[in-house]
Amino acid sequence: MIWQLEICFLLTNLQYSKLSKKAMACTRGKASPNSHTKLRLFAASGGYCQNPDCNIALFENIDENEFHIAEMAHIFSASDDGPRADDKMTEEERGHFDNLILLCPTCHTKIDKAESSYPDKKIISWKQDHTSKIDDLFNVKTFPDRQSVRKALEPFLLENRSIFNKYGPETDEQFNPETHMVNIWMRKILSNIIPNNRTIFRLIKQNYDLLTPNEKDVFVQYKQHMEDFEAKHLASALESGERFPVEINDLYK
Amino acid sequence: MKPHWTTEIPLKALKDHTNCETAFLKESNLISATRKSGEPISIYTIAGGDIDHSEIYELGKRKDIDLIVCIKRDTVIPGSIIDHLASKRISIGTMKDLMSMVTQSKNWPFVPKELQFILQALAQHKVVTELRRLDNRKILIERRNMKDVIMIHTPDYEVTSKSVRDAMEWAPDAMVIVASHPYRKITGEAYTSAGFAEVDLLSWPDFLGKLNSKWN
Repeated sequence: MIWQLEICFLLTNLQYSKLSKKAMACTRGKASPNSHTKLRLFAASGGYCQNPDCNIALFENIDENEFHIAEMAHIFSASDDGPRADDKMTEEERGHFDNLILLCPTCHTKIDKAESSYPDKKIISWKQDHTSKIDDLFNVKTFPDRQSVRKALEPFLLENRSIFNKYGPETDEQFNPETHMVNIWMRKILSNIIPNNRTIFRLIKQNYDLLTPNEKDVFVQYKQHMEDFEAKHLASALESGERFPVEINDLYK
Repeated sequence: MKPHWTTEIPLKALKDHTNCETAFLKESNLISATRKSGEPISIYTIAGGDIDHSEIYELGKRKDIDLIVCIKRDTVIPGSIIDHLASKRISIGTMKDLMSMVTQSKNWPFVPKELQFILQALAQHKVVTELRRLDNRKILIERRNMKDVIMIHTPDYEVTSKSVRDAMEWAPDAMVIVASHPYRKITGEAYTSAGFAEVDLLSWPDFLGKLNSKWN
């Protein structure tokens, strides 16, 4: 998903025009999206159909052929008599980013041919939810209170603790010099522990102001631990560095 | 009956142990405990540190002891005492061994967790003819047509120069320190310290390989 986002952001003007020629967009003068809007639509989709019941990848790679199947669909019709038409909208409003959603050909056809089953509110919520998912990947939320931060933080803390208790160096497997468990532990470090550590760090950093003074000290230790842990497991540092501060499990409680 | 100070920590630890149903003082140094799953266990506590051989031989005559626990960490328990007590089906160890033993359902036989796999693997090694526990961490390995090897293992996760120096303090006659923790990281400083002490510092797989060679 991330490479597809990168592709969207790295598109040149030449590629914009290629896209606009290839994309099956509704072309209705000013009701059609301009090149910037198209780029923004592709970026916002992350390369996936924005119908949550579909989410099919919009970029295909078959043998040596690379192409996309994305279609820019109007939420309120580009014309006065199309699906979900709103005759009060101007052409510019109809062609605006806010009135467009990126879908696969099947979903585009469905929302236009079964208009009553796909009202504007539903399609708008698809787009908003899709945007939230991408935001959650990269942006971390600022929460209004400690309880909300705690709720967001807990699953990552619990998962890391569970992995450590099951596969980590302090289980009874430490007494078996030939255990295979060490391979699983190493894999889990890369696939779960380190990404979770970074998410935990970003969450706390984004909600730093809700920490108590003592918790801020714990956070500093946690940052050192996270960096030392990555140095050990990603950069082959031999020393363990700062130990995991267990108090981090009680933050925002 | 006044409890001996050495019973305080084991009693508390037993009461917190997940497999321990009851634990109470039977004599000033003797704790009687029942497992949730398994046979009852009797534990005699001593200070440890410098082991009093005569005290141990006297305790060995008793029929109501399953495990003698040395409270002081890093107590060196000579192999002769381990063997003598084993002939009486009595184990001797530290707090770590007590916790491990209570997890089992039976009291005998008992081999400390950190040695179980090592002893089993060494006994199966094709050049090893005899194994002897010189103390609770040091092992003498007799080899076919080759000289004996005295090894000490370090169970540390991060093997540092301190791990090496602690091992050498425990066993100045050891020829090899084996880093037995499967997740181990051995620091450069650890290798340097081992080099100065003229002792080999090897991971477990390297150690098994080197046993095949005329090393000393």
